[in-house]
Amino acid sequence: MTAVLLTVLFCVGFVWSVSIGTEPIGLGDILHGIVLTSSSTDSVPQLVVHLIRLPRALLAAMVGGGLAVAGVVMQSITRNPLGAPDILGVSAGAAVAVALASTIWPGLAGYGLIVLSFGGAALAAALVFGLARFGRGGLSPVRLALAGVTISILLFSLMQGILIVFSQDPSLFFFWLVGGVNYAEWHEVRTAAPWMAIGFLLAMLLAARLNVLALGDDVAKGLGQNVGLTRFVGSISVVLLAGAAVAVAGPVAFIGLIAPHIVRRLVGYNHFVVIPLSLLLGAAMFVYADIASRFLIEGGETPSGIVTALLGAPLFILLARREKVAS
Amino acid sequence: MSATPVAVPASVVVAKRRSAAVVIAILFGLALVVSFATLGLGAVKVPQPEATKALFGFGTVDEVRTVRDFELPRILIAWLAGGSLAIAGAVVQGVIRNPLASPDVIGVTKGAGLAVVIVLLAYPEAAVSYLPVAAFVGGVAAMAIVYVLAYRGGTTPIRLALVGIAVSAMFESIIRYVMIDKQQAVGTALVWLTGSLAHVDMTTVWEFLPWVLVLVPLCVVYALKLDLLGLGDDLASGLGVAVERTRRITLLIAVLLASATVAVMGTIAFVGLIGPHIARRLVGSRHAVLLPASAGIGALLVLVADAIGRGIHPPVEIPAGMITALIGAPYFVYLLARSL
Amino acid sequence: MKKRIGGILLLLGLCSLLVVSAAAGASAKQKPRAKFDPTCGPALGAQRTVDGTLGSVTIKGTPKRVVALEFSFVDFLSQIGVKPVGIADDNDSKRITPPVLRLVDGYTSVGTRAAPSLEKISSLHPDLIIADADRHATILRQLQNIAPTIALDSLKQAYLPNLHSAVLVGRLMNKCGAMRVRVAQDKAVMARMKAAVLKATGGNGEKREAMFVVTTNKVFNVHSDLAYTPSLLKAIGIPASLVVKPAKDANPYAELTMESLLSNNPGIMFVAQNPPHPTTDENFSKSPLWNQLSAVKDKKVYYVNSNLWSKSRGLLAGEMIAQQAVHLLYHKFVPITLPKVAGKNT
Repeated sequence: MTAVLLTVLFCVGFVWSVSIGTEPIGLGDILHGIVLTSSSTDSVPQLVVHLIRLPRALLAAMVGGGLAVAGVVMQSITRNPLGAPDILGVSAGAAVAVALASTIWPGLAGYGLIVLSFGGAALAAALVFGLARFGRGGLSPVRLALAGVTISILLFSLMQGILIVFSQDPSLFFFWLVGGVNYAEWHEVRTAAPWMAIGFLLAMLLAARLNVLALGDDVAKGLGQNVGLTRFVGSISVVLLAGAAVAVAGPVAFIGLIAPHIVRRLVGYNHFVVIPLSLLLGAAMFVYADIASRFLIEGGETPSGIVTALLGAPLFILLARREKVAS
Repeated sequence: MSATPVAVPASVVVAKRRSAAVVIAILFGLALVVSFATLGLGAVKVPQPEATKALFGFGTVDEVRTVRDFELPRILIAWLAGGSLAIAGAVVQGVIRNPLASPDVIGVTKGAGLAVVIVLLAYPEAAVSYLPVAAFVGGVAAMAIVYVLAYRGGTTPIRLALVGIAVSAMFESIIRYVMIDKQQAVGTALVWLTGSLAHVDMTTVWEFLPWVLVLVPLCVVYALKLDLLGLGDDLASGLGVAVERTRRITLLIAVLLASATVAVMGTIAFVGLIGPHIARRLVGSRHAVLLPASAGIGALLVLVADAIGRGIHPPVEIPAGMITALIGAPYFVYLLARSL
Repeated sequence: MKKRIGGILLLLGLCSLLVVSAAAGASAKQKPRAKFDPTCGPALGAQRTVDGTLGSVTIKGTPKRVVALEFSFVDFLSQIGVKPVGIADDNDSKRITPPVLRLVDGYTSVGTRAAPSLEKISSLHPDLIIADADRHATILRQLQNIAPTIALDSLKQAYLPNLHSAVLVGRLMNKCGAMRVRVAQDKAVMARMKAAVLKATGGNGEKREAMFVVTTNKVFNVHSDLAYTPSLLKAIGIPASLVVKPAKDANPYAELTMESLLSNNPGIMFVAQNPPHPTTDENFSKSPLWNQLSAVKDKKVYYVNSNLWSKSRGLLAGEMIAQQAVHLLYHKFVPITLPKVAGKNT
């Protein structure tokens, strides 16, 4: 039932995103534009739909969905309700790596950038975990969250500083600070799609294990699971999903945190259901956010990430307030 | 992290106290050395010993002006603000009872930063001396918001930390939105947000000094109470300390101090986190020694960062906040290596 | 008891701090913006007061050592024969328009425009500092401690108000007459450009609209008619394709996507690219939709120098922009009279 609702929500958003823009385009043209197989048509509206709106809506869906799934996996393997790529530093690591690389090595192609993005994401994750484990006390969710925020601030300060000193144009890093899909093209969709598909597959493969892991490390070990392996594969999935998302759309905030929570409230904790539905909800959320970003500033575009940042923050506060988090 | 009451022989206690005092003395001595060594470092280079002579008024007009009007205020602010920020960080960590807490991550710094950005971008004709007030109000407002939101029949350190993170994220989002909406004047605001001492002069020092003179001693006074708090709420209650109230006031003082430093030098990352971190490993967790040690390290950090920032590629001013971020990265990698 | 005393002390401390801050704030000057005065104002040479955006400055005699913290001020100074001793050049002398650079060569760099080095400025012993009202509002006090400082608009100015700033600079330097002559020359040059446009379009005027856009790899920033370059082009008869309602806080720039570019569909495009490449316009040009743009179909897309077209905003720079635009569009070269240093005050 929820699945149906979410699907409808997503489809409505998707179609809406493809239908609106600066020029009104008729439904017939829209449909033609979607199913267009080549750019051989002369019809400008159809080309606009096919070459601009469609990849933008698709990328928004992919990025939103990917981040949501990454959030689910992170929350499960760290047993931290505040787990998300942007909160635990992963997004920051990826964003800084790509921002610096594309500024310092301008010729770097799409695949080179993605690999760097993965590297940045993985390194940031390692830093966060290392920082959180240091000293007495266990790897508590609070410590993870604090470590994540600390590393994020560190990386963003670094990036801001370097861009200020070396870049010609300060408005460049709005993109790298908030993220967005405003300039999406098929090129970005093609670059990110395979990695996100692998990441999603990995997550689904882990679904059963994650269900068991949720019962507690001891229980899982007692049932014969290799929890270390589960966490490792899970981390790879997160790096792939978040790394690819950030490489093409910048560090989009809060979807990875909030979508899993909403889905869990609606359907419970079974990962076989939670993961795909989070994908749907995350996709829908970012598609709607992207639509909203076209109307925020009159006459121009705002980075789509700013909408999720502004709307997600109060929800984050609600979550932080409510969570019964063990020390 | 919390001070554990264990019965130790008096001689050991005295020895511990003395060695802590030695460490603190070394830290401050080191900071003094760095101060003098970097006195003439900047867009206009003045070598030692001319720089020290210029400090007292001897030398060419240029040397004296450079050292007295430009270098000296920066060094003084590095001491005062760097030390204060580290002290505020230590206090916040004590109240939240988590070594990873700091004014940066629980919303205070971002709140102060947001207030300043709004004033800078939305009211450019406003007098610049409103900025410190704005930062102050922003930081206190942020803490008030965090406190109110975390309050459910009382606060727990965990909830304070988590809500602080969330509120900080919210402020960051608003800052980014304001900057995007008002793109034109972004350059100045960004330099400011990264944290820099480039614009500091003696008037700034005089304006900042009262804050330090009032708030730092208050911090020290409450430091003793914090040691009691660290024993755990029940035990501390038994010893007659009104836990909630003390927590509130102590946090307030730290927030005031941190906000004031943001007003002076923008948001410099990590001094409030790394300073107490390192200090704790050197002298332990008793606040009577932790606070001075943190201050020493905080001052050192900002002194070094500012010196590098102005000396590495003159006359370009690299913001000190970027240097502290650069210092922070290897430090965290080191922590990671040690914990593996 | 101790707590009460502590609390009272805290409260007293806070109150005194707030009082001190408020007093500091109250003593700051806030002048309303000056109205445009086309004359040279009262007595020359002697003491004169010039109103800037953030307050006025009083100068005696002729300043000999000027520090300019924005490129437009450098341009103005160079056109009346003044060589500033210090310039905030973003550490890159190539950012200054070459003919202007030739006139002011030999200056000392004081760092970036966003964060100039105060001690470097001080070491030059200036007797006048010209700062940008947007960028340097926060260091105005520090600059005034070094030398008399005036803050003028540069960053957000359109073409005509920019001329006002030029006149103010002339008054500051006690070369008001020379500057008036130069501004009149500028107006004559622009009139010649406008005539050339009119002639090249058969007397009907340019009907196509021109877009001026600054691009990097993530940004497609279009300047509207409220910004300097498009307003300059408008003054010589080339209308702007992006028109924004003038309001106190209006944003003169807008980010456009390929789709909004298509619906704006300018007849002419001037593109100023900045690294890193590949820039957004280069990405757009790979799309088949690019060829649907009128400017592309008519082959009216021109790539122009970013330093000149988007950063300079000066008298000579403005004339060069107009000259390049006319040359690119109509293959007509309208000569600009290079400045003669006029020494007299009339």
